[in-house]
Amino acid sequence: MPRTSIIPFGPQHPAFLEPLHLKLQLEEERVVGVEPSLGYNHRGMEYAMEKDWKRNFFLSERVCGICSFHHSTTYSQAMEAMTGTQAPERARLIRIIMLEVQRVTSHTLALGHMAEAMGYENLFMQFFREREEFMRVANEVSGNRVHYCMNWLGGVRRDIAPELAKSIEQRMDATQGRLEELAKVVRKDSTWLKRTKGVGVLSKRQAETWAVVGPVARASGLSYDVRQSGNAAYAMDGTKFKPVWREEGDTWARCMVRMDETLQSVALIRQGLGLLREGPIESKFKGNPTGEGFSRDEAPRGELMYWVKANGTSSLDRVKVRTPAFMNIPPLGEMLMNEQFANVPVIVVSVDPCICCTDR
Amino acid sequence: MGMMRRSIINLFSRPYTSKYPKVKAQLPEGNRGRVEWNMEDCIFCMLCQKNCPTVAIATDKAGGTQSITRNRCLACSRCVEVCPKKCIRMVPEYSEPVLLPEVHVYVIGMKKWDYKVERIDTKTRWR
Amino acid sequence: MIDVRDKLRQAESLGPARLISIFPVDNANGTLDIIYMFQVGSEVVQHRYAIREDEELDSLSDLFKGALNMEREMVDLFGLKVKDVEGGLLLCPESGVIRPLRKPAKQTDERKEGGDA
Repeated sequence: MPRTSIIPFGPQHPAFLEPLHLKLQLEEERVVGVEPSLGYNHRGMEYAMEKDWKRNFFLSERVCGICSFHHSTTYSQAMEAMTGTQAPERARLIRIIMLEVQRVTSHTLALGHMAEAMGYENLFMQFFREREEFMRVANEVSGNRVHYCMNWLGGVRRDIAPELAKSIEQRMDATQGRLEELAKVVRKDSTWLKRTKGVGVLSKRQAETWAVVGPVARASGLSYDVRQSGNAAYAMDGTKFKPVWREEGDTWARCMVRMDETLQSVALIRQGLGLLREGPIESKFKGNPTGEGFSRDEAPRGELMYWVKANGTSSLDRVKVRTPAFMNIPPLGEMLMNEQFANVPVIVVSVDPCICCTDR
Repeated sequence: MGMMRRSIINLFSRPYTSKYPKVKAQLPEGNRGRVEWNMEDCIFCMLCQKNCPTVAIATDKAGGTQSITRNRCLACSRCVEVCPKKCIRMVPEYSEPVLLPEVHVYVIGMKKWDYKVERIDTKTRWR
Repeated sequence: MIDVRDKLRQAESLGPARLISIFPVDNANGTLDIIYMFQVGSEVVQHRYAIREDEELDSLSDLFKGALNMEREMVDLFGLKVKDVEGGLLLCPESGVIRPLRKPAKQTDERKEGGDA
């Protein structure tokens, strides 16, 4: 009768960049039990955010490095919902443009990391070359490549000059062709298909029970995206936003959803730049806020929610951050059952874990 | 044959990477870097110290100095925005690694935008 | 909280409910508000319950498996009691940090064995 052995897939591992611990029970190369363990990166962000509501515009960015502008924007939108301030139209469009630039950098990093986990180093370098163009765009608009520091209550703090907007539009046209070439590789390349088709399946019923969000949910048949409705809706120019979704539920579908969303983001950046009109970029707010407010946004990994309660002083009563990676990591137990051991890094990377978001 | 074609093209073209640190990093204008004071116009209202999110600025009215702990500065430019006399500016700079935390001290009487560099010894004091 | 399950079943006539979050808010006088946030259709629905700090809560993890980690976080950071749910998600038992997000009653000023500021 076969014996089971327990292998720690530990917080330090060459295939993984995130400090996540999995205790795998193997029966001769097949996984029969999984126990994930979190908490390696807990910094107490919710406690630190209660001290000063003005410092939080910069502190909330530092919860995560790859979706930092999404955290900052969601916090600003939660404070704006609490105080009843409305950001002007130009500020909203600048926020949408920078959010989509960040989404492209995050998705190309996730796909490049996926190629690296499979051993496909050439494709990893190609993805990072395309990503570099968007990092330079972010550098020219906000002054920094990663933490943009552009948000404040009621608008944004830096503007996009008209010459810069024209130069960004021209570069988007050039990058689109190269990204479509890479999309063809993700769709048809035989190495990629052999490692990702039919691997790590999450059915629609399981996705609903585990309440997953983001590309993991959209690859399993739940066509849900925060950008469709609510106060963060992307109804630019009268057109409705159509999310990208698939039905297969395996690793290939998740990667394909991310690749299609990258191309969709390039089109959204171009659309946003074309809609920019003259106007103010900030509406003033004086004093300290009071009350409760919440806001949701579609981060690259899924739905991000901030709930804030203030009491009229310079500190806050409660800040709750519900990050998307927190919901996507527990279903790993279902996805990894009865898979080969060599597929474990590929499946874990396809879920796009971000432990600094999970542990805050 | 997408990857094969792209690999052959890449084999015969120039490399995309640059030889940093022999070649300096190209910073666009408007890059965030270092904050500088013009001590001739400073009125010591201490608004920059109150609004700094990381408590990096220390104003000394009696001694007439402004000092900024470089490692704590995020380059968020809140101090530039709130200064009533507009005597603070931000210049693009690619900050180099240092062995000990640095403090830039601006004293009344020095040349405009000039500063002196002090080092904090982390064994005795880390503010 | 048997009440939450009943309210959910009434709301399900509008469409399936999706769990967004479960979290407590400390009122600094010995009571807490537990907020259950769901999405039904295209609306966000919040159910609030006021409890004392020593009451035991019922777990939603048989209806929604994703609620288990949220309840473990409540047990860890706030010291609440949830049926059949143990803490240990984010804090180590040997770290000495106990219930860091609870606020003391409004007369005193120190935190109860919280972390460093």
